[in-house]
Amino acid sequence: MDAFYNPLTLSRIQFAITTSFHMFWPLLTIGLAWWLVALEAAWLITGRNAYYRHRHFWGKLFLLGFGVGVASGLPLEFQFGTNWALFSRAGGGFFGNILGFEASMAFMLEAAFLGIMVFGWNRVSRGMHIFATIMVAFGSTLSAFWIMSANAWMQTPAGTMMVDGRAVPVDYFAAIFNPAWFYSFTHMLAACLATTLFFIGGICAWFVSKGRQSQAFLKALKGVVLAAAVITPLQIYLGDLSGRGVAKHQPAKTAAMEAHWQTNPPGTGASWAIAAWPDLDHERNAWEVRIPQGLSLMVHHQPDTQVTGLKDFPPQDRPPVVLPFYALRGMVLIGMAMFALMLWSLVKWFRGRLSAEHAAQSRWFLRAWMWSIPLGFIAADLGWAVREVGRQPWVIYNVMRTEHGVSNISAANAAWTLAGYTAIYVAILVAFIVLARRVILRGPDDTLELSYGGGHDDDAAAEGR
Amino acid sequence: MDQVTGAYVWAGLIGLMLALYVMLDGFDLGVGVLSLLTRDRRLRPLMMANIGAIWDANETWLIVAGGALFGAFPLAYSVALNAFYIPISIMIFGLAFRAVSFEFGAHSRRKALWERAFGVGSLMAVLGQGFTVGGLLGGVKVSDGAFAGGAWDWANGLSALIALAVTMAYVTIGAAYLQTRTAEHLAKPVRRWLIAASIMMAAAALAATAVMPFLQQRVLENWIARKTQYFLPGLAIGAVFGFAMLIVTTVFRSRTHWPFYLSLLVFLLTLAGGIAVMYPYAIPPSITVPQAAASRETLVFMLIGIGPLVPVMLLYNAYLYRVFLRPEKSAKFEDRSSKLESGE
Repeated sequence: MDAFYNPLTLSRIQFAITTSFHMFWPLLTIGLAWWLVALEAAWLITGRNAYYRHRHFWGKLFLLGFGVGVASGLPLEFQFGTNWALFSRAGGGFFGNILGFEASMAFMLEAAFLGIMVFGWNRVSRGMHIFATIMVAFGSTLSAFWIMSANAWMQTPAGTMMVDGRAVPVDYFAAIFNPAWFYSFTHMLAACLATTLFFIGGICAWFVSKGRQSQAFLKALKGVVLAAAVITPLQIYLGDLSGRGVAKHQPAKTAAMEAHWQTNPPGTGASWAIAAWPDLDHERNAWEVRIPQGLSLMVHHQPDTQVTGLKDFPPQDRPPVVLPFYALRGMVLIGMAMFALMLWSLVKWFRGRLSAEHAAQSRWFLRAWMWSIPLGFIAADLGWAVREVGRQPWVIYNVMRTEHGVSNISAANAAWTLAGYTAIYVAILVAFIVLARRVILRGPDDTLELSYGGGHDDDAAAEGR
Repeated sequence: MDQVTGAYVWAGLIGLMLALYVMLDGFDLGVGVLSLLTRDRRLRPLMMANIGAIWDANETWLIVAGGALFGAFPLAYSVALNAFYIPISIMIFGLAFRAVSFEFGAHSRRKALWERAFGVGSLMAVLGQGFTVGGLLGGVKVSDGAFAGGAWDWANGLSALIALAVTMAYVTIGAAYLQTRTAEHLAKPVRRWLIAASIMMAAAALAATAVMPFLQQRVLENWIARKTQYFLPGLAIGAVFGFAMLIVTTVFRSRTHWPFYLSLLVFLLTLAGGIAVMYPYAIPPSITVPQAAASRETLVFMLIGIGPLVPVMLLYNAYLYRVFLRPEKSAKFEDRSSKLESGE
């Protein structure tokens, strides 16, 4: 069999591309939806028109992202069948069930209220309108819950029994709330919020640097910093929780993502490689930079504890090493950078440097925020690579191997859809960037006619123009 | 509830979801295909504006049905999607185009391009669905619980006829819908499409019905079986009657809304006929509905989780429709298309 041109490899690449691309949009829209709820609530409470106009500005970006999210999410649901028929047959009894829950409980809620949220201004009451916005945000969050529960079941399949090669749920509670679900869902949700915060913060920084509506966007930036002060340390904690969870339930993944070959003898600590180049043939690292006892500290929070090495697993059961190893480090680095930027912002704020007259001068500070716009997206994709590549060679951990899950399709068939998805996604991404840039350049429309009669233009908003 | 009962309950629920999908999304798919046919530039944005607020919720029924099929009938889901890899992929590509063309078109300077993308996407989705249904009715080669045929098995004369019938049915529904929403000076070309498409739909459906028993012994046996003896002719008479009424009401313009409801009726009756021909198979000619279904546990749990939601989903869809689709005069459409352009 050709190493590359075969249905298994091509389907895996296709799934990796479609998932990595799809993930961008929930990352953006889940957080943005709650941001819209916050702005709309602020508008209803204060009656200030600036909130209404900013709500519309971010609403446009939300909608652009939502459209791409639907366009890229649909292929995922059907791809399980088209490319992974045997996995679907085996896992469908639970996994498909959960996707059905996601579609009917979460996605339907989101889609129906989206119409009201977007086109319902002046057609429904204010109360109904914010209810619709809340339902969109709630629906998208619930959607993430079900998807992460389903994926976590693939990592730690609990509560089901294999009967004639099909998963039959015996304990639904155990299956839905499987060992991996909590750290998976919370880590992902915090990633969504963090990504959106830095996306919003970066755009705010751009407006401040251009001196456009500085007052209003500084206010938004401060809100972002406050939220990031909660989310970024929380995310570091949840990352640690995930790491320990993985070590407990998927030790081979931990060994691979840390390039840890040899189980350390009892009574000693496992060292942690900051950087290394794994040499798969000789089952060791060609070179490495290590911190003594680091890995034991991370995995067990104690210096002298044992961590299982890759050599303890038969070669055919080991995940790839290089990609998870470096993807993990990339993700952690980005998480730390976000945390640092949050701290920097707090320091500036306490020194009174986040006022309209000072902030515009802090060029590097604003640039740092602008550059951090893509950070969350990259970190989440890297983290997902650790999660999914680290699960290999299993599609359902320790139950079904990935190569046994693929459909009966030709390589040519897998190849043309792979080419098609890639082409469509590149086109969509380019179009999204062009259009989102246009929306951002135009900025909040301060001549926008107000729905429901309108409130008052207060000083701050008026000055900001 | 035993596994067999659960399987048929779920088959009925998925049938309901698909019927809702066809009824709700059918007209905007049809309007999309129609937008490729019109040379009247004024009509195209109007078509888009008419469906902007609701297409997303409509399309969601397909996603819900897909998820339900995956969970309740993992075997049917895996075999069918594997067997119809090419038409399903074409449908997905088409739906992806449609999904982005609304929001992107609202902000783009080249609106015509995105309107075109919407039309092409609709056509791809419709053809993909048509060939999938056609291929399914023609039978799928299965061995050992997995698809065992070739990638192009679905491409044959029968599935081409059925794909044509499905496409024309969508166009009919779309045109009939537009007719209820359009001012008189724009209604004339719409009416012409309505008549042409409905005649082509009827011809293709009749031809497919006529050839099917000759291609498959099983279908013929099914037709003369005691269970379906009265049922199938009843459906056929209903469909023919609905079709005749559709033509009459369109030609004589006596009732602007009737052709829309009649076109839905004809489509649903034909769909029911197609399902009746398949009975008791989920994947003809070898996998029956209970064989394709998941375990009793899954079926029951899914029913507890999703069953009560079906009326709730219907309720908020009804609310959405009540907000946006109150019968209005055409002056309001200008208002809506300008709103569409502003993006929010």
